[in-house]
Amino acid sequence: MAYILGVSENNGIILDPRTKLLLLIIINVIVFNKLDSHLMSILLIFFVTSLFIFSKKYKTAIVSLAIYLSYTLVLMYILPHLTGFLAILIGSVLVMFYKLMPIILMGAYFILTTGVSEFVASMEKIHMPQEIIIPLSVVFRFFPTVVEEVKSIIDCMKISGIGLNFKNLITRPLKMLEYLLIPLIISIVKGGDELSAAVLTRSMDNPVQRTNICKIGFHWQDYLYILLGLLLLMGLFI
Amino acid sequence: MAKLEIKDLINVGIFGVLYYVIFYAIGMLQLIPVLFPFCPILMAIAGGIPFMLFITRVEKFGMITLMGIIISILIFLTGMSYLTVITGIIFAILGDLVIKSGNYKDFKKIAIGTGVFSLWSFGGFLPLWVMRDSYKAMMAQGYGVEYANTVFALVPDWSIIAYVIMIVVGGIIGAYIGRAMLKKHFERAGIA
Repeated sequence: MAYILGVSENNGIILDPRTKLLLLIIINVIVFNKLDSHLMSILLIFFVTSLFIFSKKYKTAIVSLAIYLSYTLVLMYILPHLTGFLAILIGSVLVMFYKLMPIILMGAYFILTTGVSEFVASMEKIHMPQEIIIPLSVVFRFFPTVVEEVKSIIDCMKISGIGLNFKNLITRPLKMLEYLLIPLIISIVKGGDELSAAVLTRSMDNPVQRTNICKIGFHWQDYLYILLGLLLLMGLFI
Repeated sequence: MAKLEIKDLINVGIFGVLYYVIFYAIGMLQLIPVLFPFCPILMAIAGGIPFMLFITRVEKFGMITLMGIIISILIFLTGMSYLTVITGIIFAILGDLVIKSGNYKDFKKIAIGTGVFSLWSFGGFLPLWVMRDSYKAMMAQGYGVEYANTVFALVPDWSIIAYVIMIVVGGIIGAYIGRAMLKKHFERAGIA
């Protein structure tokens, strides 16, 4: 599954990366300033899932709506009947994640539908300094590698009889941390050194403006969504 | 201020992604309610390991600052409050200044600086205090007002100081663990 920046099949209607970033900021501000509004939360969920539908990611849209719905049912019918200290703690964590769902979905949309080159091109357009663009694109480049590495390290740990399970995590957390992190750090750092060598041979350090073949620009859907986002933002003051 | 080279920027990216992944994995522990209040300290401790290795590659002012900016942007993209970006910038610069005063070599300064740097994540917890009313109203919806009051009695206003101390101490512990790991593994592997 192409869940990482860098793989973008352009199908469906997709927003400009700058619009996505703006919407992400708007949603974040709304969620954290209006944590108590049910209506706002529902509106935001539909707002974000409509983006998934337009970009033809029907499965993600349906799954996230289903999660949201079941979450709502749990919160409405099950949680109020639970009592006790632990229930409150569990409940508060659940409610927090419930409220954060629009932000997490919007972040997922941003990552799912933006290619690294598109991202770099749009960041250059808003004059983000190179010092921020380059590390960020390295980060997006290495996400899949880290996930892969973690998977294979966990497999290796299982083979050696020190599987990453609950019992081991409780009885020797520091050892587990060490066994997992050290190989991960070593392999990623080595990969990074190779990457530096590779980009230097392609003269990344040349100070002139680089060209980019990505076509980015604002279209009707961007204006529509920015307008909708601003309308939602106005809801903060009602 | 010496200009950062491409190699430095790539190092920031590499250690940024490591720090972020570790931070996020530990953050998932929040789902276990008992651990919820201790997450900041656990995050700071675990973050110390990649951070110490990162420090060995830092010679110029700005790299640690950039690291803080990058990870706080990432955390913002994946579901924490926008306040994180603000605290991220502030505490990364402060941590950078502390470590720079020891010329990026003095371990005592590095340990304290790591503690200060760890505070970048503080913005993620700030809504508990800054947006208290809206947070409380949200909980009251689910459980009723007295429940919300019970929970918030557990997190009184002054506990913000306890959180700050917890995170700084966590960062310092992380720096010591990181140094031990550095000696034990990375120097042998020839990448420190």
